[in-house]
Amino acid sequence: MRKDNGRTCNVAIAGYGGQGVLMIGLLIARAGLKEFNHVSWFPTYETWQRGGRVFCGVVLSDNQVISPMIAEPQSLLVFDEPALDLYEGSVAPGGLLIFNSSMVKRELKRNDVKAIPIPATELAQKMGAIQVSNLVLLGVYLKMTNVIPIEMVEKTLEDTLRKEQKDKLAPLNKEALRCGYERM
Amino acid sequence: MVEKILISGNEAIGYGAIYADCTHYFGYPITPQNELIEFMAREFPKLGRTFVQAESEFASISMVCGAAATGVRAMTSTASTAFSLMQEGISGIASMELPCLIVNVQRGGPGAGSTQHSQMDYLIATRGAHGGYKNIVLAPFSVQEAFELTQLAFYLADKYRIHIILLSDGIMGQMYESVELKKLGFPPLPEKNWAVKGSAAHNYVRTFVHNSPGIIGSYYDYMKRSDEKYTKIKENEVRYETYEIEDAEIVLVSYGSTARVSLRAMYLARDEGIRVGLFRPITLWPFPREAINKIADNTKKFLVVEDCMGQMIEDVELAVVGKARIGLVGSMDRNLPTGSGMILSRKVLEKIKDFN
Repeated sequence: MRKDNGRTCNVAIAGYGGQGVLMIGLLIARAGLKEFNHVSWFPTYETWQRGGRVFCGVVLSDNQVISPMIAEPQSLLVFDEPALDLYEGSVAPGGLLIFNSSMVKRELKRNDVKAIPIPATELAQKMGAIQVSNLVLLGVYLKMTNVIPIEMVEKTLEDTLRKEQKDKLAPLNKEALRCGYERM
Repeated sequence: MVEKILISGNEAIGYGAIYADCTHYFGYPITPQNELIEFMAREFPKLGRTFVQAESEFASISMVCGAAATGVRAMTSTASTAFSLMQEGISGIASMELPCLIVNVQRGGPGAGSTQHSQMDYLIATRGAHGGYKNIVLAPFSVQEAFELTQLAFYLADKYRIHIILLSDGIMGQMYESVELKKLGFPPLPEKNWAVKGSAAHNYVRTFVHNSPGIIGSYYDYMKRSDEKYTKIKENEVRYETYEIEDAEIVLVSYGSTARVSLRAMYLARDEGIRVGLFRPITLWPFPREAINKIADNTKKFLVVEDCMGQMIEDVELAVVGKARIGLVGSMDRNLPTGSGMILSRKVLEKIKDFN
């Protein structure tokens, strides 16, 4: 790849519409703005707000992002089985594959990636809302890669919820994030 | 670290318009440009500027025409299908020599096509509608560039009294990147003494903006004036960027979002020892014909990467004049058969290796 000094991290996230795939990607991207000079977020989704395939890729880099459309992610967060079917093959060899074992029931085909099953939906349900399963997976990702300090992501989460006038949801959201983070 | 915000390509154009002191936006919603019209609806009134959602895209372009004729900086934005709807209005604007900005965030075509990205409007943007006029076409490949080229667009529009098309696409429009918001500086511009500002304006010297060349002066006068204008633009306003061209045995030619994909493909190829370069036109009109012609003295293979069935490739063929061979990576090489399909870097790499 391009010979320059500096870090480049990327992560891809995939699931179905309504699981909060894009929101997690945006959280990483926004939090990353303080740490990295160049950040990109690339979404692709179908014509449904609930259901349909959703994918996003985030690149955090010290140098200009070559292409936001990442095809070989260093890390992949998988929310459901169809997402695993679509993107399992794309993970870079030796990469990280964090998947929601509550919804992924089959064996992985890859044996050259670091696979981490997390029963995210069940954990979220125990906390009170399945909608925060995305944050559980994000917490795991942050602990495993150390790409951005969790405090920075928490702050970004608070700011985002405040802007949307959903401050009341902050405690539950942060609990879900910590749940994933502290699990590892 | 410089302070940056994370915004979409569509919104970046909105910010660019604000920073360029554009005061009038007239538009109509259509996917995938909606983040832009929504941004304008929200931000322009806060700044005391005019936002109007017209009843159609033809009404939008007509309003742009009227506003621009009074000397204000006016713009609209749309996507492919509705860009077609604006064409008569654009031809009118061309005949009146009105400065303004028209943004086309390309989606699949023809017809209603798809709601997702494409690069299928290259020819219509660069060739225009009836009458044979020309206009500058600017093509950003990053969100930062979209922000900056929008400011440049308003400057060039006023400098030459010409309408500018900013050609984006669904990927460029909806992806987010970090942007440094800064106001670009430009040389001073003359007064718009041609603008229609009421009978008391210009010391009571009457001005007349009209769409029939030959009403004031002759038809030939209009043609001569246009010819001189276009020649000046071709001589002074060509913009492009090159990457690792000097020793390249294959040069990729690409603009907009596919240029990002091509850039990555270039690095992947170089990793495997294949000497690939990238030529990225920023002005699609005036097309960087001479620059490509010169490269063709040393490089004998050009691979055009564009998300359509082959449109910019025609300009590359004209530029190269038979001195090199030209191949195409187009929409048939997308990774999926649906409207979401994209041209990806590995596919471009595959076509580089197959190009013999």
